[in-house]
Amino acid sequence: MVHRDESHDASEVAEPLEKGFATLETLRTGVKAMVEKQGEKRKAEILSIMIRKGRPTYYVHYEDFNKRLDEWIEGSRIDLSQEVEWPAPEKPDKKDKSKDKTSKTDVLKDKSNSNLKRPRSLIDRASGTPEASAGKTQSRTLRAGGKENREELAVITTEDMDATPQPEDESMDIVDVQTAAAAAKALAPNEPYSREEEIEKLRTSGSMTQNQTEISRVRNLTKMQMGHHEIEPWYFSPYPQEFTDSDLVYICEFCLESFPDFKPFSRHRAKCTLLHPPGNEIYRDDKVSFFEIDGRRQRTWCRNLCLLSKLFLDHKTLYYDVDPFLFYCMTTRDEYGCHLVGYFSKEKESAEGYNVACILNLPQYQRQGFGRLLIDFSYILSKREGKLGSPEKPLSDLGLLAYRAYWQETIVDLLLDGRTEANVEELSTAAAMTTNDVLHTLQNLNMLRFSKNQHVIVVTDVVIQQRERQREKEKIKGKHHLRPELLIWKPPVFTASSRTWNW
Amino acid sequence: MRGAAGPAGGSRFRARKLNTKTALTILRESDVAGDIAEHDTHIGTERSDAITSLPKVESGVESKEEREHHLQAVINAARAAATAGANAAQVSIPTPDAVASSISYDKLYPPHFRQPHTYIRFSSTVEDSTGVPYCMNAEDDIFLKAFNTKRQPVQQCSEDEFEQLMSSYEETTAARQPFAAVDNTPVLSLEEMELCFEEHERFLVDERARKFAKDVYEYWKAERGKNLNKSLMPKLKTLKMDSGQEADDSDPYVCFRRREVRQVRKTRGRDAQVVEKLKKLRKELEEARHLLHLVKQREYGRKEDLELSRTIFEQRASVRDMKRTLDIRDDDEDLITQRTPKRRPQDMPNAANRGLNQTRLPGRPDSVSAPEADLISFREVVAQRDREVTKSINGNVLSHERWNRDFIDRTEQQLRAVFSPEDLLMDSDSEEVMPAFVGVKAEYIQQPTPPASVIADSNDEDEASPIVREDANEKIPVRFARPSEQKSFAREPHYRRRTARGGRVVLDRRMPRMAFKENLNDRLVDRFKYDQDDGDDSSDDGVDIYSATGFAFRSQWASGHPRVDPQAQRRVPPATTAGGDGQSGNAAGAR
Repeated sequence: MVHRDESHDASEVAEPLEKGFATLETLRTGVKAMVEKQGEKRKAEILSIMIRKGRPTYYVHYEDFNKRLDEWIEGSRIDLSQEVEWPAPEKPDKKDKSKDKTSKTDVLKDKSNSNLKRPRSLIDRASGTPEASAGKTQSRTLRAGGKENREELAVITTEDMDATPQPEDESMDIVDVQTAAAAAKALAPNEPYSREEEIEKLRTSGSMTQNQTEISRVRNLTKMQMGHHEIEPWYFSPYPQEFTDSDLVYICEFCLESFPDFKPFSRHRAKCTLLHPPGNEIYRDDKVSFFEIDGRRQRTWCRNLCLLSKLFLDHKTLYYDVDPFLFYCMTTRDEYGCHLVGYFSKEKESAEGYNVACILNLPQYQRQGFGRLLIDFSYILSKREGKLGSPEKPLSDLGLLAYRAYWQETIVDLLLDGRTEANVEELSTAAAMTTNDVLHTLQNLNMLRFSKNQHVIVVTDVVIQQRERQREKEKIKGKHHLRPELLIWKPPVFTASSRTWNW
Repeated sequence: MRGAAGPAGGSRFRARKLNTKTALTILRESDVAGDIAEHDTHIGTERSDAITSLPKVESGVESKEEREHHLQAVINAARAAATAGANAAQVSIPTPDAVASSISYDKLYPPHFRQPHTYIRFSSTVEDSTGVPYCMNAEDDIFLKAFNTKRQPVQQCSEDEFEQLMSSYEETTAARQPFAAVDNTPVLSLEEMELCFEEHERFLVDERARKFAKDVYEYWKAERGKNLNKSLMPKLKTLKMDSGQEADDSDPYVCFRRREVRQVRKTRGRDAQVVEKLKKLRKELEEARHLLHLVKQREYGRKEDLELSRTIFEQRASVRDMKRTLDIRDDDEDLITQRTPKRRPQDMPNAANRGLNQTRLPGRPDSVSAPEADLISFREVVAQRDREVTKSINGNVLSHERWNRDFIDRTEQQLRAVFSPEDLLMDSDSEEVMPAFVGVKAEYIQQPTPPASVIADSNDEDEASPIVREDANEKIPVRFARPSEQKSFAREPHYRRRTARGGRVVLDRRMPRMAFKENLNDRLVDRFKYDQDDGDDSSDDGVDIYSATGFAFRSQWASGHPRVDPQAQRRVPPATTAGGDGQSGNAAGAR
C-alpha cells in the first residue's frame, strides 16, 4: 500500500513532495522515514505513536513488506539524519495537476492493480485526514473535464490519482489491466458504499474481506501463549478490548478460551475438561486426526478459533457469525490430548464452489509439512463429495505458495503416471481441482506450450528433477501422506431449515 | 486462451483457444528437443512476452500484496527453479517467531487423554465442558486470601465457591440488567441475588458457598463499581445493544454479528408468497376436513338406518310369530319388509316400456322416507284417470245391460254392449281422421241410450248423396265400431254416417266387393278398389231380403220372442254374415 506513494514520488518528479528533517517530537502518523530493519534501512510509514514508559514508541509499516512485519519500534531506530516525507496535505488543485500527469496508459495499468486495494484508507485512517472525500470531489471534476482521455479512463485514474506505475509494473499485461479495470468499475467509487456491498456479500457467502479499513488496523495484541508456545500475532484480531493492555494473552489449547492473565487462565485450566476439538473425528491415522465441527453447534469454540486465526490471516473477516461454516481441524495426539495444529473452514454451501474458506496452519506448526496435509485433506473431502474445489480468494502470500506447491506436486504426479495424453478436465477431475487452477499450475511451470499448431503439455526436465529430489527427501525424512480410506465421512447435507434453525 | 509460439523470426501470432476438453499430448522435454530450442530462446529473450501472451491466470493474491518483497523473492526463486533448473536457494517469507513457552505445561495440562478405539464422537459445547464461567483474577486471589486468613480452615471459602458466587452475580446481572453498563441501573441487591440462586442452572450456588454470599457480594459490588458496572468477565463485543448499526460497523471490536437479522428484509417478498401458499393450504385442508366430516355423518346415518331396518325386521318377525301363535290370518301385508311404494299404478301395461322407472336416479336405495314418495307422480295421475274412465264405462255397461234387460236385440249382428278401452282410446285418437269409412255393425234394435260416439260432421254438406230424412221420433240405435284389426275388414260392408244439409242424416254405404279373393295381392286389390258402383246402389236398402239370415231375423222379429241372452245377442258370429260368400252385401238399417 505504501509503495504506491513511493512510486508516486518516483514518477512525478515535478510534484514537490513535502520533505524535510524531523525530530522525534515532530514525527506524526503518516510520516515516512527510513527505519533500520535487520541491519538495513527501509522506508517505513508511521501508523501509530504511543507513549510507553514515558518514551514514545512508533508503529511502523515497512514498504513492500507484508503487514505481519509491522512492528513497534523505539525512536532510536528511525534515521533522522535523512529527510522524512510528510503526509501530503489535501490540496485539490494540486491533485488536479497530478491527475493530468498521471493519466497515461501506464498509470491506468497501475491503477487497475491498485484499486482493488484502496491503499488510501489506510493513510486516511492513520493520518486522520479526510482524503477520501477529497478524492471523490476530484474525480467528479475530472469526469466533467474529461479532456485528453476517454472518460472511462479518466474515471479510473482518478480513483488513485497519486498512484503511478512502478518500474516492475511495466511488465503488466494489458489483459490484466482490463479485468482489473472492470473490477474497478464494479466497485463503487466511494468507500462507504462499497463497504456496504461487501458486508452484504459477506452476509451470504465468504469469509475474506477486501476492505481496507478492516485490514489496515494496527495489531492490537502483543503476544499469545498457547500450549507449549508463545506466538507473536501477525494482525489485528477483535479479542476483548481489555486484552490489549495485556502483555501475554493466554489461550487454552483445547477450548481456545482466552485470558488476559495467568491467574484466570490457570483457574480455567483447573476446570476445563476438553481434550480435543468438540466435534466428531472423521479421520485418524498414526500421526494426525481431523475433527469436523459445525459452526452453529459449537458457536463458542468456533468463535474462539476464528479470533485466533484472525491473528494470522489478514483478510479474514469476523464481521458475521460462524454459523454457515464447517471447521475441519487437524490435530496431533499425545497423552495430553489432541493439539490443534491447523484448520480450514468451509462454507456449508458455497455459491462460488470454494472448498476452503479460511485455511491456517498455526505459526508454531509451520514449516513442518502440516500445511500440505491440510490442503490435501480439503481436496480429499472434495473428491468424496464429487466436486471440484478451489480456495476462497484472496489468498495470502503464504497461502499462495502452499497451494502452488501442492498443485505442482499433484499435477506433476498425474502427468508422470505413464499417460501419454491428458486434457485439462481429466486432470482437474482427478485432482478435484478447478480447471482454472490446473491451467494456472501448468502455466506457472511453463509446461503448457504451443507447438506444431497445437497445444501440448511439456513436462520439463527441471520439474522432473525437482520432483525426484523432493521424493528422495521424503524418503529420508519420512513424509506423511494422508490415506483417503481412513476418512469416515459423508458430506453433510444441510437443508434450509437446518441452516436457519439448527433442526 | 491465447498461446504464443514464436517460430523463427519471433513473430507472434494469436493461437487458437485452448479447449479444456481436448486431449493434450504429454511430452518429455527430451522428446521435443527440436522445439525446446525455440521455446528456450523464446523464454530467454522475451520472457515477459511469453508470460503475458499466455492467458493470465489470477494468482488469487491481491495484486498489491503480490508485489510484496518477500513473496516476489520466493516466487522468482521458484520460477527460476522450475524453468532454469537452478537449485533454488531456500527462500522463505519471514514470519514473526513462535517460541517455546516457559509455562509449566504439565501442571496446566494434565496428561489425561486416552485415545478411544473408535473415532471420537463428541457434541458437548465449550460451556458444557468448562464449568463455572467466572475465573478468578489476581485481585480476586488477593481478596480471597485476605478473607480466608481470618477464618478457620473449615470456614474458609474455596476458590471454586468464590467463583460460583461471582459467576452467579455476574450471570444474574447479565440476565436481569443487560444494559447495566450504560443506563445506570442500580446494582442488584444481595437479596435479589440470593433469590436467583436456585432459579437457573447458571446461577446455581452450592449450599456451602452461600455462607459467603454476603462477603463475596460486597466484594463483587465494589469491583463492579470500579469497572463502571461493566461485566467483570472479559466479553467479546458481539453486538452493541446501545448503538445503531453504523456505530457497530465502524467498531472493529464488534464481531460475529448475526446474519438472520437482515435476512428478514431480503425475504420479505417471498414471505408474502409463502403466506399466500399457507393460507391456500389451510383452506384446502379445511375443505377436505369438512368433506370427511360429512362422510362421517353419512356413515352414521347409514348405520342408524341399518339398525332401524333390523329392528323393524325383527319386530315384524315377532309380529309374524305372534300371529302364528295367536292364529290370526290375514294378508301378510305388514310382514313385507321391503315394501314397494304403495301407490304404484297397477294397470299400466306400458309403464315399464315407457321407461318411467328409468328416469329415477339410483342412489339412496335405503332412504328412510324419500320426499318423492309424498309427491304424486304423473304416471299415477294418468293411471287414476284411466281407472275412473274404466269405472264409468263399466258402470255404463252395467246400466246399459240393466236397461236392456227386457229388450231383445233383433238385429242381424247384435250390438256389443261393451267397448274395449282400447277402442275408446283409439277412437278418441282417430277423431281427426274422420272421413274414413267405419265398419259398422248396425242392428235394428231400439236402444234408449244415445250412441256414445256419434260423429257428426257438418262439413260434408256438399257431398251429393242420398238424403235420408231423419225422423226424430224413430229411435234407431246405431252403433259404430271400429273394425277389428285382427281380421280383414274388407269384406264387411262399410258405412259412414253424416249430417247433411238441412240437418239430414246421411248414411253412406260401401259394400263388400263382389269378387274378393284372399290371395289377390294388395296391388290388385288396390286397383280394383273403386272398380265397383257402390254409389249406384244407394237407392237400394242394402238389405238382402233373400238371405237366410234376413229371413231368420225378420221371422224372429215378427214372432215377438225376444232373445234375452246377452251373450247370444252379442255373439253374432261373423261367419253368419260372412259365411254366405255369395251374398252381395249386408243390409244395414238406416231407418
